[in-house]
Amino acid sequence: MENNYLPPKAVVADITQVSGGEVSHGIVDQLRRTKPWSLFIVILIFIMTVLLVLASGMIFLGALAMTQLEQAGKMPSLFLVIGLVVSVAAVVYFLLGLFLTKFNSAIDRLVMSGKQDQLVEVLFRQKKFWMLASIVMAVTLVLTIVYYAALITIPEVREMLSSAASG
Amino acid sequence: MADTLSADISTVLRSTRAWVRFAGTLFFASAVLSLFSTIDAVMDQHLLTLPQTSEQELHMTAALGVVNVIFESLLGYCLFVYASRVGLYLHSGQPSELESALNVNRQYWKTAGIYAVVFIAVMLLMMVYVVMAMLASSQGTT
Repeated sequence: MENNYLPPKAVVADITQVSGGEVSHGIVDQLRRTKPWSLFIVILIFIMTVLLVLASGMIFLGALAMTQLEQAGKMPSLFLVIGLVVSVAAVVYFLLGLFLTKFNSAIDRLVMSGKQDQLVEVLFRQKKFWMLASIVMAVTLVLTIVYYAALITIPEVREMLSSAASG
Repeated sequence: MADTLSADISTVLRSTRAWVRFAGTLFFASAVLSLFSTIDAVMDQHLLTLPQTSEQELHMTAALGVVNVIFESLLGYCLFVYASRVGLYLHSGQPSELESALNVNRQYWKTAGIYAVVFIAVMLLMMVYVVMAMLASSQGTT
């Protein structure tokens, strides 16, 4: 006969011994302890996204204001290009934050259920994040190398940067 | 608890390992670039003796560069170890190997979090220094 006076039991997988298609306590615990750090990075990524959106908005406004000036020359188009690059960076940051948020949510579901299919989901989300992060890193690295190559091979670029730095 | 994990986990991890190793390589490449750019920036400031350059500014540029190089190398190392531990799991199929791999994965995120905190702290210090230098120069001119 069922005892109605027993206290309720937690059904969270990482403190309940479970069997059959379940994930070990150690694996769930490692991912549970990973989450605060990845959540911290997600918060920083979204703060960065907001800052980039604000920066691109200001750059576009600056370009718009410059078009009113007669002596602006090529500056508005240069500002538009910079604004576009910053906007792309904002979109990329947003996507990275979104992928990492999905990874964190999958960890939550794994901690609650402890099921192997949820572990597959966590690892799949992680793979998606690493795919995007690797591609972004590769593109950034190539652009940095191109920048330094231009700096070394084209003297005008170096002179322009030196004069800009010295005011 | 299950002694073996499903084949789906191995399939996902196999493709993840390649991307993680690629990201680790990029972190090492980025560390090398950071090292060169720091040396370049310090040498430029030192040799060109730009008007607004002071010794403290030089030290801060160098400090930020060193922080970048150390943490990027550490993050690259973490990712390489994670990829190799995933490889061990794929070879043996033991859940304990996967646990060990996920432990390194956790260390990666922890290192990335500490890097972010240190980077923000150094940037704030630089901003405070620049504001103080501007205030000092404006007081000097008046």
